[in-house]
Amino acid sequence: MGNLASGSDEQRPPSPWRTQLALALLATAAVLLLPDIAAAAGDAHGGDHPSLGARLPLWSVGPFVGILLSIALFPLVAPAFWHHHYGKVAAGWAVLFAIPFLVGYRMEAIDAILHIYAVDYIPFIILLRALFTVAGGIVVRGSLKGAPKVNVTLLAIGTVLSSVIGTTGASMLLIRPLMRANDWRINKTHLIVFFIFLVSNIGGSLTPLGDPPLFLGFLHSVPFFWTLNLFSPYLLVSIMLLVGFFALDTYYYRKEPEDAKQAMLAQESEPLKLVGTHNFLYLGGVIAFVLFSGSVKLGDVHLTAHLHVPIQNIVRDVGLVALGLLSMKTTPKALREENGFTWGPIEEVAYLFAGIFMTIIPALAILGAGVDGKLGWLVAGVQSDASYFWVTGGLSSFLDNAPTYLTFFNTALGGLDMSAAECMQAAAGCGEPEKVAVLISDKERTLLAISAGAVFMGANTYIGNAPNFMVKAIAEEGGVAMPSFFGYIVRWSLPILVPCFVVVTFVYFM
Amino acid sequence: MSESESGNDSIELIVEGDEKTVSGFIRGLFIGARNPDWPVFHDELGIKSETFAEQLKGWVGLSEPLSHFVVDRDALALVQSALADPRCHGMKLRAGQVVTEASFAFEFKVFTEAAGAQVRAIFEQVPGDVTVEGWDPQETRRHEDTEGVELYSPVHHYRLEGSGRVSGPFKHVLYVHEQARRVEQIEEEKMTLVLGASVLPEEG
Repeated sequence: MGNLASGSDEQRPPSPWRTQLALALLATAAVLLLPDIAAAAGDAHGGDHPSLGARLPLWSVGPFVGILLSIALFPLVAPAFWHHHYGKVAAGWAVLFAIPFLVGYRMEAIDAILHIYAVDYIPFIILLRALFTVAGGIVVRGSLKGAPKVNVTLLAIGTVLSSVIGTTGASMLLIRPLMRANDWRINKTHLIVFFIFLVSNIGGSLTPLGDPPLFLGFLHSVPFFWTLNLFSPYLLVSIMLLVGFFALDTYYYRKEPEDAKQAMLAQESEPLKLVGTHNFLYLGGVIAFVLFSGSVKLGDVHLTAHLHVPIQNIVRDVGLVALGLLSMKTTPKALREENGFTWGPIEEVAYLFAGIFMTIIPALAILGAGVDGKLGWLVAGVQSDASYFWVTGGLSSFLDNAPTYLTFFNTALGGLDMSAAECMQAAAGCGEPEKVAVLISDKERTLLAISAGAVFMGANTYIGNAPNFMVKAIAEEGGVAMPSFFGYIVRWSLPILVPCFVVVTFVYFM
Repeated sequence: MSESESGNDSIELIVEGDEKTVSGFIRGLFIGARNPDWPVFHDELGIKSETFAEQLKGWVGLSEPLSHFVVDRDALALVQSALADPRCHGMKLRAGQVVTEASFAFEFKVFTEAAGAQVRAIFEQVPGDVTVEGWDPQETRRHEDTEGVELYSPVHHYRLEGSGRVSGPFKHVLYVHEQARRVEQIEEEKMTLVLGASVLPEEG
């Protein structure tokens, strides 16, 4: 042993003061909150006791609200800080919930956390990674002449493509060709704004691959093809927006300087071609694996006594990972560089949604408990389809639409009046699949309203859906003057999108 | 307009009459006379003309509509004689004043070094008799890990922003204004003209 008393060799205690302070704060929080938690916890398993959601206190959703507000506000008020520390902020919110939850609910908490990561988070990230990787390997080369007919066609193609390769993938694939085609123009803002409306949001309505909220619905027993029921409102809104866009683009096209217009028209155009098209095979594979997991039942793997993961889901996830790796291996790096492909967006989603899925546990549980939970007033208050559309949509405008969808999806499930007879008829009891089946059979329009609200209204602000900010940043670096956060809302989404959504409300949800 | 070194060779003319008729007539006049100059109409090229109140009066018929345009001093006689022709119904030359100075304010935000170089070229390489007040652009370069696309934490790797006011002789300020108008990320106000002596004889 060293001589602790000697001068320069003196040894210091190992823990720095910051670590000690953090541990002390967490311990204090746990001690202060434990009586409240312990009083509500009850037995972890077995026996006749209220559900977890009925026992959780309302403040337990605080970290969930905190992380959503962080995602919404930090990019606006402190973008540089957020860029470098978003992972730590997300982890902080997650730990703030997780530690008291584990201390107070023990095995029940472990089950809930394992469940949400195994059933929601891991498949969610795997699918997004696969779609992003595959779409990032497809490049559109060549030049188009940026005139109204060309632009509206490109937007229409993107609106359809979004439901196949996802809104992020379609945005990444088409934003640069659109900007190249219109590089000669002075007035380009409207092109990008309508791109965000259609390709980055509304276009993703038709399949679970299109937008994260819909994939979360699929993971929670909504059948894969059910989202095709959104075709009618999707078509209505898309047509209104495409017609409006064509009129606006024509107006701005006519205002462009004549010399620039003539130079553009006289230019020889390079024929359009798709490169990296083998990735469409992988895309087919992604669709096939997702469909497979929704169509067959191969039994379950029991991770814990209470956590069963269907084997077909494991097969799906392994398949998706393999397809992503194949795409990386077989696509030249130069193609990805043309798309500006980096792993940054997937890292962001991975860190942020790790935090979101931890903190969403109490919100989902409490809402799932219906009027027995501390958010019973919300369950009772949001009743009509129109209010589901606007409340889900309104919150999706300002908070990421995936957790917002899940929150109101659970609100709707919690509001179901499942009689004992209905539960007994379902051989497996009143689990989530049974409740979702009842929701679809008895209140299908409610689920349509929640889905449409979450997907459509992600277009209302830059923070409503993940690709919006990405498209804005790419456009700004391409020389387009994008409106500010409030400018986008006041000059674009309020006068253009909101009237469309009012029409949708009257046609479908009243 | 023809190139000229003089700052006082631009004249603003105001013609009373239907705007489309006046604009067509004046342009046709220049083409027919094979005049190398070209009239600069206010609405086309972002020059302030009437106040909103005056426009409103014109719309509701309380006053005649007015067209404002700027021509070279050399073309003044051509326009005066054409409008004085008795066959020229419905149009009347109301005023003509020397344009002693023009100016406009601007601000910009760009996010690539190429765009930054373009903006600097516009406002730092202006004609000698043009001044740019308040020119002090702020340039920010961040760490290379901010390059590339982001979904939830977008930060531009490069940023150049600034504002100012360009002023000087009409033709040279118009040149800078036109260059600025072609860059979408530069927000420029309409040009303001400072008018001097009248060039028309007094009536009566």
